[in-house]
Amino acid sequence: MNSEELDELIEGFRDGTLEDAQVARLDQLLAEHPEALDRFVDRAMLQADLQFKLGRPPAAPAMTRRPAKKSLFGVAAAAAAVLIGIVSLTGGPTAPETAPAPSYEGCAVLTRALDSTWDPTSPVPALGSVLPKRRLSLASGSIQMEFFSGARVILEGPADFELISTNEGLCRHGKLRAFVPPQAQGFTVRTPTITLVDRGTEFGLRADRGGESEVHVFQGRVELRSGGSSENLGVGRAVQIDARGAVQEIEPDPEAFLTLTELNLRSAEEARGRFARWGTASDRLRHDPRVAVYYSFEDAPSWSRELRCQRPERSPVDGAIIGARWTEGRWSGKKALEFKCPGDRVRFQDAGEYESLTLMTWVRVDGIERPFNGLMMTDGWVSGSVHWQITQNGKLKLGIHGDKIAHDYDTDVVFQPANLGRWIHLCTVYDRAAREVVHYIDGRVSCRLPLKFDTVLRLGNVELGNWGVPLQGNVYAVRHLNGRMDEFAVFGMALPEREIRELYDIGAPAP
Amino acid sequence: MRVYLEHQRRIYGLILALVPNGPDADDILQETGAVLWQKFDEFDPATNFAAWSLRIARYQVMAYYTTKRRQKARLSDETLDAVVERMAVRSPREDVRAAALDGCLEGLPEPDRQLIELRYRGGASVEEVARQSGKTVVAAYKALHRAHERLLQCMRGKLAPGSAM
Repeated sequence: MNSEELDELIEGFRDGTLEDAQVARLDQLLAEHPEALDRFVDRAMLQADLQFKLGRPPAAPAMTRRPAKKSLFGVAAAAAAVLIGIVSLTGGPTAPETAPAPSYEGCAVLTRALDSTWDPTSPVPALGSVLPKRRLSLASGSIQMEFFSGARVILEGPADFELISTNEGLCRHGKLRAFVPPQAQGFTVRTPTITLVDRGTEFGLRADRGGESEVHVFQGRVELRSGGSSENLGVGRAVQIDARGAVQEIEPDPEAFLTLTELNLRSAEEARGRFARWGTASDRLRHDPRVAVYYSFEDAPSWSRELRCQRPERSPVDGAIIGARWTEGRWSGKKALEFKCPGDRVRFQDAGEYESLTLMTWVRVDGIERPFNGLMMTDGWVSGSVHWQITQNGKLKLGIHGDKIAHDYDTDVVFQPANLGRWIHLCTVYDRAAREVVHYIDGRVSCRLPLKFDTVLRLGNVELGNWGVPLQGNVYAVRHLNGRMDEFAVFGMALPEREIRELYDIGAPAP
Repeated sequence: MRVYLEHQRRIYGLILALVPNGPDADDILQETGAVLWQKFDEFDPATNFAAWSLRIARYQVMAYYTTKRRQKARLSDETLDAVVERMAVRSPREDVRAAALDGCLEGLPEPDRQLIELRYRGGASVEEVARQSGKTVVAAYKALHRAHERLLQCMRGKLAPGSAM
């Protein structure tokens, strides 16, 4: 008896993946070889030990009927014994270990960006991302920051603004308008010469590089601290403070500061423009002969359960939407699918064989709480399989299965709590000629990894946002994408860096 | 019912050996517990509780085979009998087995331990184990075989010499 063969049958039996002939083979081994039977029983006991130690322990049996009078202690005592027994059997080492809650540093969320450009020295925060304590240098355009405290700041470039805490900022120079609800009272903005402490209001601040500043109070009250003195400014007041701290009354000018309404109207207009430009580029993409599979997620009514394939002349068929719901994409009016439940997915098929491949998608990843979070996964895990997913520790992963060999090409950590929930452009190139895998995040190279082996890639049955259909009786881990997807493409070749950058630029939801 | 709890692990072992992993196995254990509870008067204390309870578990497994007609091929009755018989003579002191397993898991090389964790804590299928550890499915079967072999050897060594596991 070959113990390796027996073990393989035992594992397959556990997974429910055995064919009838294999079950018969297992039966035969157990009947004919006493040592196989011994090993089978040993493995069964070990399996129970491991299940108790590591797995989810089975629930205690339901005691639905009172036992007959034979019991000396009665039901209560029996129940107590059950409790004691359960605790001693399943307590302690089998209790699930609680991982430390993930943490991040943040002060505010960047919720609007209008024509914004950033100084080369400045970090470039993405729309929708959490802003940690950091100094931002806005070269031009406007942004809206929503502080965790509830205060909202519209900053107009050029501006140098540093986030100090969830309720405080330092404006070295630039123009801003702050809206402060009662729950954020005490919101503070400093400049190199003055300090403004909000007392429930709306105000404008202009700080010049020379140290001169202006404060305009549109509503409520602001406490102005300058030098050693402090003064309350009421609604309708406006003052100018020179570099030495001298305060002088000026004419209030609400028009000089961008309002929330203006910002919203103008950024909505800007978004419409971007959406339209993307639409033109998307039309070009669907006629690009290098594109093997393309889903723009457009041209579908919201009740549709088909994801319209944009390359009908090619082999890929319309995707079947399972579970996932239609929702809003990168822009207002752009369609997207939302994957939330473990069953959610889109299944499609492609008959192509590829030596090189480029995978491209726009996704909004809302969470990475599972070990694996599928982006595009071919069914099974066999020669030619392509598995594109995000790991729990935040890495983008391309798994390639060759002939008797498999390898994962991982990025460093890309997804962190602070950048979840925003639209991100992911692109991965499997380049056989250059013998490398290149991952791109938002149009920029994230990493280049040397190819481990050659293989022909085959898609076959493919899923977006999930992996595979469990075989009968087989339990699969939950591995759906938690988030939204609003564009997906496969190119049957290695797309050059320049074009990937262009795809990002034309599709970016905001500058 | 304390006697049941003392034998619970063995009963679970039998069920896990005969039914694919998953909620069904847990259901069968539940039902077996309930039947044992109902029929406890019929149990003759002079006889072997292990053999009696395993027989009942076996009937529950067979009932499952019957109701779940999807299971086309299954182990023969003779094999089920042989497994039950063999299992009934295993000495299953819960605490002794648990302590032995703790020691054996600690001594397991790290890659093997990770596979065992994936398989049992993560509840991963072999295909999943392969996927998550960057191996081919064939390599995953081999690696799981090696890890289990190490654990079995170690458990045999730790449990009283001469007595079966």
